[in-house]
Amino acid sequence: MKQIIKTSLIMFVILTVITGILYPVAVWAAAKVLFPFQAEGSLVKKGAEVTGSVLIAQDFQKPEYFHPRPSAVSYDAANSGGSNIAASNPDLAKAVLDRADKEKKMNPLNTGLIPMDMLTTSSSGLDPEITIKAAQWQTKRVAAARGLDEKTVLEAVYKLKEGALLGFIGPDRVNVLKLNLYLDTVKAK
Amino acid sequence: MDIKVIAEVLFFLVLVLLVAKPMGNFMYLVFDGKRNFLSPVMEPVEKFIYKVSGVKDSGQGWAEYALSVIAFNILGLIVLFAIMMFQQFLPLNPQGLKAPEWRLALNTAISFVTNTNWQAYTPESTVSYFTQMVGLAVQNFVSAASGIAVSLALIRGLVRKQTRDLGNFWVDLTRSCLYVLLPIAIISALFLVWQGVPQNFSGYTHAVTVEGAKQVIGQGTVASQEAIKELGTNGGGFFNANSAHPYENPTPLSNILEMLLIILIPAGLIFTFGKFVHDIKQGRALFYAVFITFAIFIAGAVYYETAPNPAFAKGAAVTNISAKDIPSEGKETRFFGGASPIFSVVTTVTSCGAVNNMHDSNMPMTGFIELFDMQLGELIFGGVGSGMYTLLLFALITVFLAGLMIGRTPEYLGKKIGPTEIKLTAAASLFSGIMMLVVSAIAVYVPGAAASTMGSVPHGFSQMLYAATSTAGNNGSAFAGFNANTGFWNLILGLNMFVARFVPMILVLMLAGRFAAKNVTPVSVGTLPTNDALFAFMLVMVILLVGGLTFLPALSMGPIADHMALFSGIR
Amino acid sequence: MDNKQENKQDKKQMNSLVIREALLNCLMKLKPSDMVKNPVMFCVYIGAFLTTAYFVYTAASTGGKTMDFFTLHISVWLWLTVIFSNFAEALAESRGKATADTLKKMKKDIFAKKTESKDSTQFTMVPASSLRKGDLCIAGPGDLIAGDGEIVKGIASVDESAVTGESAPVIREAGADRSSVIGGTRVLSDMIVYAITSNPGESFLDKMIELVEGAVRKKTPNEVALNILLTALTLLFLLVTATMQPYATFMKQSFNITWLVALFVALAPTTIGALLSAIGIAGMNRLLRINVLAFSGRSVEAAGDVDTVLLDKTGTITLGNRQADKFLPVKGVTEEELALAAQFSSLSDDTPEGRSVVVLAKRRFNIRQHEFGAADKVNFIPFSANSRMSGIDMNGEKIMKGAAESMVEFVKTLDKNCVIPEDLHSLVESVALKGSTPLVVSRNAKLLGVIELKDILKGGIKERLLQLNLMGIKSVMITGDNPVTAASIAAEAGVNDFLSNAKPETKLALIKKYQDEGHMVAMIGDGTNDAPALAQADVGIAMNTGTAAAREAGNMLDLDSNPTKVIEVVEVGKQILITRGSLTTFSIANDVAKYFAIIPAMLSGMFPGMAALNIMRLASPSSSILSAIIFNAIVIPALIPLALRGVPYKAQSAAKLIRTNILIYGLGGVILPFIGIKLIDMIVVALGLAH
Repeated sequence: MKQIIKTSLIMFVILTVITGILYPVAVWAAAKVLFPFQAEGSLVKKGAEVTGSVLIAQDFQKPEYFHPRPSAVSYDAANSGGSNIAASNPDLAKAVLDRADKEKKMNPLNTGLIPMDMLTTSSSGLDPEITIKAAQWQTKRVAAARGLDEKTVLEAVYKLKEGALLGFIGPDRVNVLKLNLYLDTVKAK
Repeated sequence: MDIKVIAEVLFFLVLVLLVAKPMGNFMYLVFDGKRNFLSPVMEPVEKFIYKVSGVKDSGQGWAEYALSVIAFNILGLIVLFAIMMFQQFLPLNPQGLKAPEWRLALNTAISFVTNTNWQAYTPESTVSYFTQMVGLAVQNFVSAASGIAVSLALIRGLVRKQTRDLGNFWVDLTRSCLYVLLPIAIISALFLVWQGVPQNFSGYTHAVTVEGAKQVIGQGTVASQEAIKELGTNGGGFFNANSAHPYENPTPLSNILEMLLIILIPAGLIFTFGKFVHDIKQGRALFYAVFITFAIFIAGAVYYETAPNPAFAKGAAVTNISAKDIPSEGKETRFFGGASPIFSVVTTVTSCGAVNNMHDSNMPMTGFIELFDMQLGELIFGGVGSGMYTLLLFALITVFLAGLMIGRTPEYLGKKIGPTEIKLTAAASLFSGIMMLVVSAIAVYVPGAAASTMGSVPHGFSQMLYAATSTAGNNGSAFAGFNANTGFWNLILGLNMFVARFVPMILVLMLAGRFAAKNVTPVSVGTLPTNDALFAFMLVMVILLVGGLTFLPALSMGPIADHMALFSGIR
Repeated sequence: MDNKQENKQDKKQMNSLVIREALLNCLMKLKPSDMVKNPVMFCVYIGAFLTTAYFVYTAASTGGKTMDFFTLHISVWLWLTVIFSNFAEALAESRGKATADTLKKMKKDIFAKKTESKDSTQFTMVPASSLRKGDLCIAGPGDLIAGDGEIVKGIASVDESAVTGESAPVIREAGADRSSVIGGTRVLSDMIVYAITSNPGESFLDKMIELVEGAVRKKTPNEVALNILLTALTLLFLLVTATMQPYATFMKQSFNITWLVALFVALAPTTIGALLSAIGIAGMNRLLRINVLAFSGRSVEAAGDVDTVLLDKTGTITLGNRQADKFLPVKGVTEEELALAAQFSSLSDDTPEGRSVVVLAKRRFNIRQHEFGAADKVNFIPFSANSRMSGIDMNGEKIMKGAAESMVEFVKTLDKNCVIPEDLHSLVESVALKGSTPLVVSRNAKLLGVIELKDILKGGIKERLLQLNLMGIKSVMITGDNPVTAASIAAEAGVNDFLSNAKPETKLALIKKYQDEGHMVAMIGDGTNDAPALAQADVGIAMNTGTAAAREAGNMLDLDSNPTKVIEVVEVGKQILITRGSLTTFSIANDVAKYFAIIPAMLSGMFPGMAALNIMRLASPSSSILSAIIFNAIVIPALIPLALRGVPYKAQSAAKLIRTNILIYGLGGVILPFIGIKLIDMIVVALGLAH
């Protein structure tokens, strides 16, 4: 028994050093060399100031920006999470209807069907992307607010579109931050 | 279900088929002590470890093996608990996080040591980088390795004859870490970084958004943690949103890798088993039994998650919402389609518990599948190692029932199953199921239990059942709307995880010891074939029947009732 | 014929007696102390108490105004479930009891002629119960043997029909392998002196009575194992049911206790739980019917596991003696010529071999047995160990047969210049190589050819061995022959392996070797020198004609002393396990339908949508639950005949067997209750038992 405890201790220390220290440090060092941008969190900077991460949704309220999906955590990137509201919960249907009203008010020019992903919260609350349908739904508003014609905005959406992996995995979608930053450059023209 | 989703499902299933066998063969080489392509690198390290820790590669009897497992894991539990309680005095704590409440810390420590990774806490605001790396990630490795070790002991017990020797725990532990977990984790972690997963020691990023708001973005050694969390079927996320967080799982491609990592070792081990018993058909029969059940569960979950939620139909009548869209609450855009439900099944059949979408927001029947996956005993692939030994326990029960029907004392791989063996098998295989029932029943009487739940009555019940099931199944996923971070829940669920992990483990080792001591009956035409399609079929039936009979009443009162109400509109 | 007729009538009489007794006993078995031995049924028993009490309580608390007839119905059927189970066991037991009673009658009132020494004819009459080991007794014609013993003097024919059921008398004599006598059997002729070998209460008859009565029936390891699994499932289902109430509490509802008990009983493996012990007892009885006594249930079960059977060559695989099979003349001699000479040489030879030569000659060439005239000067030359030949000297003509070398030497003494036929040597060699025995025949100095003496297989043995192979059982022939002879017979009979030059030690070593390799070995034996091997074998069947030592060493006794009986024993052993397994599978498969009957019934009040799961479209919640419970109860008596008779078994591979049984008992077990419950539901509604 004594021997077993002794072995346990030594084993534990060695394996902790290998898997708890050497392993992450090795990955960190290799990542720093190979993929420095991703390793640091895919951050977008304006000068020295960090504007955000292309992987993390941020709140957009203004009409001239595309809006991300609703967030259950108010886009708090230090506390991710979903609503966890059940599919059968009447509150969900109610929340969806409330958001639909808001969306309609926000996009008075649009009479089409509001895509469901704009009405439901994402799993992380930080979903950086929206479906192409959701982008199309917002195009009229953004174009109007920016004084651009709708086609130009739509072109921007398609330009930044991420297609399905291998043609069948995942929906056609677009990164909201990237799209908005791109539109800002278009406006500047 | 549209054709793209079907293609996605088939694509993933084919990938599983492609990786399982080579992985199994490789692990056989490693665990049988044969030379493999990693030997030149790892052998010196391995030798050094044995030298320093005084381990001799001599066989252990079941009791010594069990004592080693328990001693090592209890030590891990104490150390992890201590790290959390003292994290403010330890380095790598840029956020200056304090010690969590002791019951939460204990729950978390048990959770990681038992390979459950039930997360009652919000990682971003509870644990420091040091705790994540040196505490939690280490357990991600060694708890997985402990599971593998115990499954190896049982396999050896079945193969060897008239011996006490079940192998050596320290050797199995070391080899699991060095040859299997570490190399795959390193490569996968770098792959994940390439896809966008961060790996840094920086403090949280303070950003000023485009619209000028402030946003604090959590950072850390995410990639290294993420890789081992999936590979070891641990499932404890670096962030609260787990694998749904864009930093943990940024692309559809990273998602596929993570799902494969989860299933890689559990699926491979079944082939390793076939190699060990010198009859790969034995492994293949078990594999296909599991694989087909797995495919059926995936088909079910994908079906329910790609059909519209009828709750919105009424709303669509009053306003112009696109009610025919797939249910997207609690899902990430990049995982629309098959990616979310496939992941849900992968994570619940294995005892992983990582999630890329919120199970609590799933359609009721998807919740049913998730619950049932875990209630079957985490053996449809199951946890790393634990899935293998639980599957073997059910193979033993199947052999016992079917073996009688051919008129012989039932035997598996030539080992006769007598009264003591069946006692141990029944106890070990039914234990976690019993804990699931008992804990969920006790929970009802806890003051405030109902207040912890959310939603309709049957759904609230499902949440409670899920908590009891997930912890006893050492899974760790949750219907997260359920508030499990209370003193009571932390203690009872912690206890649940602990006993449901170690009681079966000890019973399995006892069983391994008994089998090892037995002689092997040679195969003849009078022997029940356990390597053919019929046996695989019987095994599936026994698994489904035992699981179904045990849990259908509870499931009827939870997700099934929820489903009936949602779809019929009658409440 | 007569015997059979009698048997049939006997059986009929016995059956009605047996059933009457079983009916009585099944009520006696309702004692809690008896019930607790069967955990599954004990739980049902408790359930029956609970619902009955609940019925009485509701009736009493409302002063008889509300009678919960649903609970009453359920209670009645639960009691019936328990009683049916007891009946199955009682029925199986009472069959044995009836046999035991006749045996007991036999034991009563035996007096023994006790004597002081084996050469004395003086005796005193004492009651058999006063005899102790070592006492000497005398038995003459008409006397009953007072106790198990060993004949020390004399020879007698004994009628053992009372014990063995075999009406032909058997010969018992001192000093031979057939020296033991059984208490209760009757001497028919002659006088013997025997020494008692067992104390009262330990005799063979006592053992047999105990066995058939099932008084000492210990559960076999496999039965224990199955019981453990069933108990585990029962406890699990108890928990499943018990947790339903807290769950309902969460929904702010509660379940009726009758419903919960009903759910539990429907789930618990009651069918197999009820029939388990009956299957075991019936199996022992089946062995008894083929005249085999098993001294332990363990050995019966081991018989099912046997994968290696040792068979003695002589008497089991071949007829006792070698027989002439072929005449092989040398060049220039016709076969008929040889046959004629061979016949003459064997006229005086009374051994079975000699007779077989005469028979063969007659069969091949219709050569009649020669009638010697008065003029013939005939001198028979008998076989001697020195000359190793025998024959006849008829009118100066010497016709002889014998071993090759002796014959060659012999003809040389008759005629120094005689020519030894060139092909004789090769003929002799070829016969020997086949494993047969060559005998050379001569007429005077002329060597005519060779008679091939061959081992003749017993009729039907090949088919038997083939059956063993189909069952996956390896047959091993044991013989004292040399390896060449042994190999050829082994090949001809189709045994898988053989042991030649066998001695008791090598036999024992062989069994140990097989056991070390993980095989389960059965053997049958009779001689004292078989005893160690019998004891070592997993299943050692001693022949009733064998020595006391052999009978002591074996764990089974074949009263017919039929060496191929081992195959039947294996079949019975397998059948017991198959019956157990099949009914277990059936029992558990039944649960699916019962779930579909009970769960929607229990939950549709709580969740109206649940009614969609009532796929059998049963009339109402109470009719559904009642129907499931009725089905659960009546399936027990419906299966009693199968449990007692055993599931049909025919020799085939395990793979085929499992396919058939899974189909019948697995799939059948799923489907049948759906139909049964639906039908019962219709009847229940029609009778107005539930609305």
